[in-house]
Amino acid sequence: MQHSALTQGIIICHRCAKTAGIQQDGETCPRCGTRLHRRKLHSVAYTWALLLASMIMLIPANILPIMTFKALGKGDPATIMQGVLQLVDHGLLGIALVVLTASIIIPLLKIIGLIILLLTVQLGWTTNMRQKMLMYHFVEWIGRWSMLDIFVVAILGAIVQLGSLASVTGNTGATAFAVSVILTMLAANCFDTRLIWDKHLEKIGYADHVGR
Amino acid sequence: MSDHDPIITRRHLPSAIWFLPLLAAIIAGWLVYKNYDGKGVLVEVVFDSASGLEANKTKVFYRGLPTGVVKELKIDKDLRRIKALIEMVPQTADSLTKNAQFWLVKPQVSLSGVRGLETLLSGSYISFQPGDLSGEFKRSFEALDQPPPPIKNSDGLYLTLTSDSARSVYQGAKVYFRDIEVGEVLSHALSPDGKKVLIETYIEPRFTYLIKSNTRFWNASGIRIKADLSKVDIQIGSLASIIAGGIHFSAPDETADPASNSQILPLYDDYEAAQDGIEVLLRFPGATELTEGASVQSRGIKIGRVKQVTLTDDFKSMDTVLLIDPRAQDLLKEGSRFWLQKPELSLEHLDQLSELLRGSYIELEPGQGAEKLSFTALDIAPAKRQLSMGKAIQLRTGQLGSVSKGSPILYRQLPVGEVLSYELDKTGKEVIIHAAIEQRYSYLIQTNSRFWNASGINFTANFDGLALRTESAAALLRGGIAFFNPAGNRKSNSTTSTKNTYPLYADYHQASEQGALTDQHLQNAFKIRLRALETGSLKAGDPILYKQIRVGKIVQATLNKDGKGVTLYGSIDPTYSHLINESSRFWNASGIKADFSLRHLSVRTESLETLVSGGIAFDTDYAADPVKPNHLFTLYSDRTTSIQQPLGVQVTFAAGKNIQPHADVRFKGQIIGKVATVDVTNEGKALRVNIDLFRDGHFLARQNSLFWIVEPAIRLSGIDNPAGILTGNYIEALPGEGQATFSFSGLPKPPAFQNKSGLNLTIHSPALGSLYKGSPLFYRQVPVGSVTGFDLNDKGEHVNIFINIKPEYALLVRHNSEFKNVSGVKIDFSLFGGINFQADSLETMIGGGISFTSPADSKPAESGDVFIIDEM
Repeated sequence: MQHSALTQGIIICHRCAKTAGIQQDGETCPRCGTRLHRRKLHSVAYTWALLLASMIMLIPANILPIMTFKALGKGDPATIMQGVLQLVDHGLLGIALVVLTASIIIPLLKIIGLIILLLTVQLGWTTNMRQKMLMYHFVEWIGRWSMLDIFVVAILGAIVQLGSLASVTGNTGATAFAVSVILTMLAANCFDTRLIWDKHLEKIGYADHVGR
Repeated sequence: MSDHDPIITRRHLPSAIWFLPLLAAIIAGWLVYKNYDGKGVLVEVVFDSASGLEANKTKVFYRGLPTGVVKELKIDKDLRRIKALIEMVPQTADSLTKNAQFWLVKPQVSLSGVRGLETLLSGSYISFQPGDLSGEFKRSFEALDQPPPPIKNSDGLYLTLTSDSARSVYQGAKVYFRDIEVGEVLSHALSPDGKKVLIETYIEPRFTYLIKSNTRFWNASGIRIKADLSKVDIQIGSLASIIAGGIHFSAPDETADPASNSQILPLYDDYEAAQDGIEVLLRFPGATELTEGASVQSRGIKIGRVKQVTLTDDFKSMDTVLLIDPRAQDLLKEGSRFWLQKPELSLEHLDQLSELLRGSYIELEPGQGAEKLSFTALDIAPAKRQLSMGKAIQLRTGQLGSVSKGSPILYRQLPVGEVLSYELDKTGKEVIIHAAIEQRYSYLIQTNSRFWNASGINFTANFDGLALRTESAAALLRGGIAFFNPAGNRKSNSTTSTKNTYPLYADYHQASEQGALTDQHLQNAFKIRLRALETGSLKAGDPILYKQIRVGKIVQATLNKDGKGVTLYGSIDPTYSHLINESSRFWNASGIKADFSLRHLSVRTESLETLVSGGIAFDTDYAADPVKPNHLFTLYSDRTTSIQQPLGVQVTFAAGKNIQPHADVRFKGQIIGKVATVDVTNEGKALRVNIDLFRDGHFLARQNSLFWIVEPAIRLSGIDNPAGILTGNYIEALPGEGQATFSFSGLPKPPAFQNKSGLNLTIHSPALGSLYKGSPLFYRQVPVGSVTGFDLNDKGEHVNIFINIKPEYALLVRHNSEFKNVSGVKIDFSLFGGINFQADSLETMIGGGISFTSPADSKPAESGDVFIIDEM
């Protein structure tokens, strides 16, 4: 049978994972003093807001140059996509693929994934809940890898300072990109995956437990 | 389901979290806006070729600043032109007007500079020249083929130079001043009428003060070699200007106005052309070897050059245009004269080689009168050239000798002037030499100055250090005139300038009147006179030596009025005048004096100089009273003579004696004279011997002096006068007493009695035995004296034997001493006594001798005492 802790009258501290009775909802955790809730408060709204901000920041991150690489005084600021194309030009398809994945595909996938999850919660979709859980974990796990680009820019910008011979400087696009990634990660973190299941529980008769 | 409906409290305000996307939106929007705000305007530029252009790479620069980038390259539909879509920075938007200009800059590496080095790596770029801000906006442009002339909007000076040809002065060529880059050529273009090239030049602001309104520019491009006979002229600018071309300009004329912007100035072809000058027309009457560029000089200073040489239409004369330095304008007067000065090949100076190489030049002699700019040149150099400085003199001489124009006038071998010219006088009998003495030496010319021709080698072999005497190397080759001022009658300076015509003597001797006038020492010198029979090899100028050191010289030699001798005048250097006193002896030191005797051989000369050329030596024997100047000394023929100071006496001997000239005359063994000559007189019956008695022997010239000839004699016991065997006989003399006399009769044989020092005794003996003159006298077998002579007494009764006891033994002879002839060997033979063999000495055995015994106490004998030997 499908049960949740809530249906059995148990809530859990978000901070220290101490279980408590449902009657303690709204009170403080006897162990760590955190206020106890059945579910994360405003999870969906927070996630939407952060996701939206992330999506907005992704726009300058992609259209503004993230990095200027100058060799012998020659070189232009390049956006992420231009960087990828340059790598392709140089025949470095593998690296181009890595950069493309880490910098463009993954952030997009994360955003899409989170949107699907949020819509699931809000519209009460109850299909493929297991896959959705997997998707969430994937989004949460992969999120940090999007910082790869930022590391590259930060390291190169610090190291490659050979004067007029070669120099790398970060541009505003990188900042925007970093902000975007961070916001996505925060969004993923704010999302309470248990909400996915609550609808299902509601449907099978635990609605009163699920209610706030 | 729960029975208790929960109280739902709905929040009406949206959560604060929604500010986050709002914030993100604002930031992102701002970022994007900011990014795209920097994006410029797109313009279209049409190029002939896309070479060097690359989309998204090729940039547009304005003053070195990227102002745009080529975004896209497209080819025209008709495939003839390239359209480049260029994104310009927004700041340029306002200046992209009608006359904005684009052109492609390609890398240029030249020696005048590397332009666009960055383009080597970055590729070509497009340069952009903004248009007027107020002009009509435009978005499509045609690229220029080459850079447009820069707009004159920088500080600094923009000049337009006009030239006949651009030569290698191209855009970018530098303008140099003293080889420092001060500007550059911006562009060059033909003038509208096509007759000139207009060269736009830019001078950097910090150098603009150098450019005046009359600054002269010349083209210093490349290496310019101008070679003709007169010169090889290589003009080289800086290395950059050699290859890239360059413009130089003259030093600023401080007084001129500064040049203004856009001023038009001429650009001359070369340095020379740029040189300023006053144009003077000069016509040469005949064809001359004159080239353009030949210099015009005045008194050795270059004042201009020949700019142009043209032949007149009738081929008879030549017109030249001279460019004269403006500073020399004062020289161009009506009376000025020009002529062509040709270099003379002279061995005199090597430094005149330059003149030879420089070739002919035009000499200008300034004149007086009104200013004039057109002249006719003289055919030849004028005979007389006035020196503006210095003193002109004329010298008259019969022969020019090797004096030539430019020959130096020497004073103490120092050139103090030069011969300017020479000419025949009107009668043709004399040559007049015009010369000039430098101003600072003009005081040397005095009314009594004496000039002589110092040309050539004066090889007066007077052995004055092998006197090969020339005035100077210059004078040797080129001829020269020397002069001196006779000492003693120097006059005040006021007389120096009055006279200017002098005779020119042929040589120094003539000029100095045999040196009489020459020596400055002469007036201070101690003067002496010397009496001599003849001058011998002596002559004026010969030295007077003291201990082989030259202390003076013979000034003059004159014949005495009676013709019997000569008087030599000598001057002794003042520093040595103390050496002369009454005891001084002078002799002729010329030649070699060899003194030869058995005892020594001495060859004596005073010095090589005197050996050949003669001279007088003197010696001063002892401190004596000083003599007055012009004291008359006797000049002896040689040193010995001077010591001897011989006195001539005559002794007449009977013929048959062998006596030779140079035989000695002795007194008591000492030479006190010499036989000078031996004459046979009285028809061969007598010999007249002229004897020079030396100073020591002068006492013999008295009455009753005796002279006889001593001949060598060889005896068993010895040799008398052994030297005489080799040197011949000599004359022995004994002084007499009485008046001085110079004529004597010689004795036929030595006088028997000779008054020698010591004890002179006479012994009367019945026979001479084996005694001879010189036989020894023994006392206890010690020789204490000798027989000095013997004689028969007047009646022949006995022999007078004259003996001499040496002074140290004189006391041995007593009044009653007994003398005994010990000559030979005395052998007594008796039966009982045996053989008594008695001989005093081997010498007496052969040569005989006398011995004597003296009683112990008795009165010493006195000279003149007579003793008697009874038996032999």
